[in-house]
Amino acid sequence: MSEDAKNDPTAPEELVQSFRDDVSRVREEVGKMVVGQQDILDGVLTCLVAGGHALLEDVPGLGKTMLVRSMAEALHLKFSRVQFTPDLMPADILGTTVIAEDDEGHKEFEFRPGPVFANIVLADEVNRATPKTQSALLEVMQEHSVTVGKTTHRLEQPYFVLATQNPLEMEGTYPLPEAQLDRFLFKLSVEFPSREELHSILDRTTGSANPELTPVLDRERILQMRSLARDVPVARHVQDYAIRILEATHPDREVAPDMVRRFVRFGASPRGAQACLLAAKIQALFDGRFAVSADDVRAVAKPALRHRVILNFEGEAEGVRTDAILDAILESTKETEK
Amino acid sequence: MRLPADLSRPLRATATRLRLQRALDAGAVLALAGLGLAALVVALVKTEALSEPASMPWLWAAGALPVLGALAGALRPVDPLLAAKLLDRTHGLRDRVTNAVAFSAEPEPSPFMKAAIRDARGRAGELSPKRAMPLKLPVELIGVAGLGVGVAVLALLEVPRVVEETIVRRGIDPVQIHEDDLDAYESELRDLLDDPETPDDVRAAAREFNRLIEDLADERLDRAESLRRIGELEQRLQRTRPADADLMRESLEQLGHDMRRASAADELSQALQDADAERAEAEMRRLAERLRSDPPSRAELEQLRRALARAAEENDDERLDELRRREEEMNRLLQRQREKQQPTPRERRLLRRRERQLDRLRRQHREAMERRRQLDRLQREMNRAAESLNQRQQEQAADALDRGAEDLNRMAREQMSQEEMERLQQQLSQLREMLRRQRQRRAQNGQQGQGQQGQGQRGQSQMDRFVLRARGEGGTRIQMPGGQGQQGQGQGQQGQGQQGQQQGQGQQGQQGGTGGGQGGQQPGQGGEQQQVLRLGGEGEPNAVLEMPGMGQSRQGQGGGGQAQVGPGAGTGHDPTMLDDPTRLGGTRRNVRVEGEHGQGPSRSEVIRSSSQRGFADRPYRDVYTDYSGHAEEVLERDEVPPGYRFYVRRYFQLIRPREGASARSEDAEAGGERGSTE
Repeated sequence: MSEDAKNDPTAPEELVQSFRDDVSRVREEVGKMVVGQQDILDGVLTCLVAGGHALLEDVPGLGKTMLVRSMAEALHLKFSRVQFTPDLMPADILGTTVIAEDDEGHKEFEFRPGPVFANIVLADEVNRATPKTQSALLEVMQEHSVTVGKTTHRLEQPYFVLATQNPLEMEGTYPLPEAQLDRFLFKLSVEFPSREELHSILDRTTGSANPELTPVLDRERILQMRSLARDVPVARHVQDYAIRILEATHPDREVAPDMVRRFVRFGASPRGAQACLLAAKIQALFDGRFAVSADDVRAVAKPALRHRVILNFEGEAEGVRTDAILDAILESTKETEK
Repeated sequence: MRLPADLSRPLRATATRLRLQRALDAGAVLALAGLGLAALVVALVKTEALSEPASMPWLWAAGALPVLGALAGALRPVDPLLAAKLLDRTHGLRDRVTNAVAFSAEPEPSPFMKAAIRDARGRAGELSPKRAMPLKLPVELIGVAGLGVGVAVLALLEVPRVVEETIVRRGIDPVQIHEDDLDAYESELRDLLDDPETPDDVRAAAREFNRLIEDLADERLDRAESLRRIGELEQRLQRTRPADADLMRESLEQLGHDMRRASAADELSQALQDADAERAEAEMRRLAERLRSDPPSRAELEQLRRALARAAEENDDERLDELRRREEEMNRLLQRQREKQQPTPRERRLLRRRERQLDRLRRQHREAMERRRQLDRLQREMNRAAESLNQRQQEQAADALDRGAEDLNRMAREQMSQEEMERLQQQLSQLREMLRRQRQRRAQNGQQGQGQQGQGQRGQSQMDRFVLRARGEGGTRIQMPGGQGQQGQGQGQQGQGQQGQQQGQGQQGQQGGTGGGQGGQQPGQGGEQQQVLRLGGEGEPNAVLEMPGMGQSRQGQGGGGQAQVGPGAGTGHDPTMLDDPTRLGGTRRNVRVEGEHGQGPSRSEVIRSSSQRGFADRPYRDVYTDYSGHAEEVLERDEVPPGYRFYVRRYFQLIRPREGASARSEDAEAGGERGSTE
C-alpha cells in the first residue's frame, strides 16, 4: 500500500481494510453465541451486505434462530421471527388496519405493522404457510415495501429475510415455487456440527454463563458496506467465467456437460449470474482484495445457483442433487476459454 | 494505462517459456508422425514397392515435420492473460496478476482497479516464471526414441527377396490344369508316399513330382517351365532306374522254364516263369523249409537236382554280347570321326550325339553286367544246392536255397522299385501329353474363334470314336464301374430299368450331341445318381455308356436300383455276377471231378465270371496301360464334364495292377472285366 493510500480514508485500500475489520468484529461477536457454522455466517453476511435474502434448508435444532438473532444483536438491527403455519394469513405478517380511539374519543383507522417491519426477519419453516402468505412475504422481500389499502409503507433498510425450510417433513407443506425461489440470493445448507463443535455447544448452553452481545455495526455502516461492495470491479474474463457457468446450467447450451443435459430441465436465470458476481465481490472484500477473481465466483456458485437449477423427472427419480450437477459444471468450465 | 514493468517482465518470461514448451510438445508429436511416415517409407523401399529416389521427398518431409511443428508451437501467439493466469495459479494469487493485466488495458481505470494493479505489483517480487511454466520433456519423446530405433533397425534390415517368386508371378502365362486332374495325380502320389515300402529313391522322385503338381495347382508355372521340370524328373527317374529289367525278367523266365520239370518246385518254377521275384523268393524259402522238415521222395529230389543243375548252367549272355558289340562299334565310329581334321558343323553335331549314345550304351552295359552278377550269384547258389542234393546233403541244399532266396529278395526289391518308377514315368508322360493337348486346343480355339456348332459335332464324333474303340469290333455295350447291371436282370429290376429310360428323356441336347443323342441324369434308389448316355440314331440305342453320377454309385447297379425280394424262386441271378444269366433250358451233362491230394497248402480262387469270348490272352498290365492311356487321351480331347474326370481317373487308379501275389487274382478278375469291355 502506498503512503498516499494510507493517509486517504477514501482510498480503496482503507475502505477494504475497514470492511474486513468490521466483518471480523461481527464474526467474533456472533461467535460468542454460535459455535462453528462459519460458512453459514459468511453466507448470511454476504446476503445482508449484497442486499439479498437467504433460504436456509436444514433440520430443526441446528441454531438457525440463534444465529440470526445473534447477528441482529451484533449489528444493532431490529429483528423479528415469524413461525409459518398453514393458517397464517398475509395480514398476520404484513400488519393490519385497526380502529383506534384517542384520548378525546375520536376513532380512526390505524395501521399496525406486522413482523415484516424489521431489519432482519426470520421466516421459520416458510414452506408450511399457504402460497398466499408466502407470496405476501416474497413481495415484501422483492419490493421492500408493504401496501395496505391505499397506503404504501416503506421498509427500513437494510432489510434482510432469512427463510428456513425443513427438508424432512414434506407432508402438509407448500413447496416454494421456482419463481419465488429465484428471489433468494443464496440457498444455504446447514451442515451438522462436528464433534468438537458439539462439545462447545454443550459447554455454552448447559452452563450458567450467559454471554452478552454488544452491537459492533450499525445500520448506516451496513449500508456503506453494501455500497462499497458494488464498487468492486470485475474483470471481463471473470465475468465471462461467471456467464459460462450460468450457460452451462442450461441443457440446451453447447457448454453444458452431459450431466446437465441428462438431468436438468431448466437452468438458472440471469438473476443467478447477478447473484454470483455480487456475492463474488463481497467474497473478494472478505479476502481483502480489490477485484473479483475466478476463485470467488467458484466459491459462491453453489449457494447462488443451487436453488435456481430445476431438475427434470429423471434427475428427481435418480435422486440427483443439484450440488453434484454444479460440481460437474465447475469442473467442466475452464477459467479461460483459450 | 500501461502494465508496470515489474509485472510485465515475469509475464513475458512466462510467455516465452510457454512458447518453448509448446514448441517441444508439437515437435515431439510431429516427430512421432514423421518417424511413422519414415518407417512406412523405409518399409515400402525395403519391399521394393517404392524406389529409393522416389522415397527421398517423403523422407525429407518426415524430417521436416518435427521442425515445422516446433516452429508452429513457438510462433503461436500467447494470450497475456494465459501467462498471468499461470502465474496466479502457481503462486496462489487469486487472479491478482490477471486482473492487473485486464485492468491495465482499461482506458480509465477506477480507483479499485488501480488499487488492484498496485496490489499485484506488491506481489511482483515473488513471481517466478520458472515455477509458473516449468519446462517438461514431452512424454512423446519416449515414443520418438522407440520409433527412431525401430526405423533405424528397419533401415539396416536386409529383407530377403524371393526372386523366383517375383519372376514367376510377373508376366507368365500359367498352365491351368483342371482341379480334377490335379486331384487324380495327388491321390496317386499320396498312395505312393504313404506306402512304407516305397523305396527311398522312388519316394524322393514322388516328392519332387508332388511339388510340381502343387506348383501347377498354384498356377506358378508356365508351359515351358512345366515341361522343363517334367523333363528333369524323367531324367532323374532314368538315372535312378535299376539295372536292366528286361535282362532280369528274361533270365528269371528262363530259369523258371528250366525248372519246370521238377514237381517239388512247381510253384517256384511258375513264379520264375512269371518273372515275379518276390513270389519266387517265397517259394524258394518254402522249398528250402520242405527240404529240412519234410524231404520229398527220392525221385522228386532227383528231379529237383537236375532242374537246379540245368538252371545253374543256363547262362544267356546274348544281351550282354549285343551290348558289348554295339559299344565297340560306337567306339570305332567315334574314333574315326575324331580323327577327321576339320569336321563340318553337322559332323560335330553327329559326333556329340554319338558320344551321348556311347555313354548310354556304356551305362546299359554296366547295368547289364550288374544284373548278370546278381543272376550269377543266384545260379551259383542253385548249383550248390544241386551238388548238395547229389551228395544227399539236404541241409546244405536248403541253406543254399535260402541264400538264393536272399538274392531273389534283392531282385524283388529292385523290381518293385522299377515298377513304381514306371508308374511315375507313366504319369509324367500323361502330364506332358495333357500340356501338349492343352496347347493344341488353345491353338485351335484361336484359329476357329467362333461358333459352337462345330464343337457339338466334334464332341459327338469324338464320343463315337471312343465308344467304337472301347467296345471293340461288333460290341454294343460299354460298362463303366457302377453301371454293371443291365436292364431286365431279375424281376425286381425291370421297372427300374424302365424308369431309367423315362428319365433319360429329360436331358436331350445337354450333352451337345447331334439330334440322335439323348442323355438322362436321375438319382437311383438309395440316393445314387447315374447317367446314361444313349448314342446312335433315333431308334433303339446301340451303345450304352453308363457312368457314375455325382454320388458314389457302388450299389444299385443296373438301372439304378436293387432287386426286391419276391415270392418263390425268381428268374434273375446274383447281381454281382458279371456274366449272362444261367440258361436253364440247355442240355447239360454232370461231370464229377475228383480232387488231387498233394502236399502243403493249396490255393483256391473264386472266378466270378468267365470271359464272354474265351480266356484272356494278353496280360492285364498291358491292357490296363492301353486303356488308361486311351481314357486319358479321351478325357483331354473330349469335353467330358469336369465332375466326371475325377471318377474316371479314380477308377483307373483303383483297378491298376498291383504288385505281388494279388496281381494274379486281379488278372483273373480283370480277365472277366476285359471280356465285358472288349
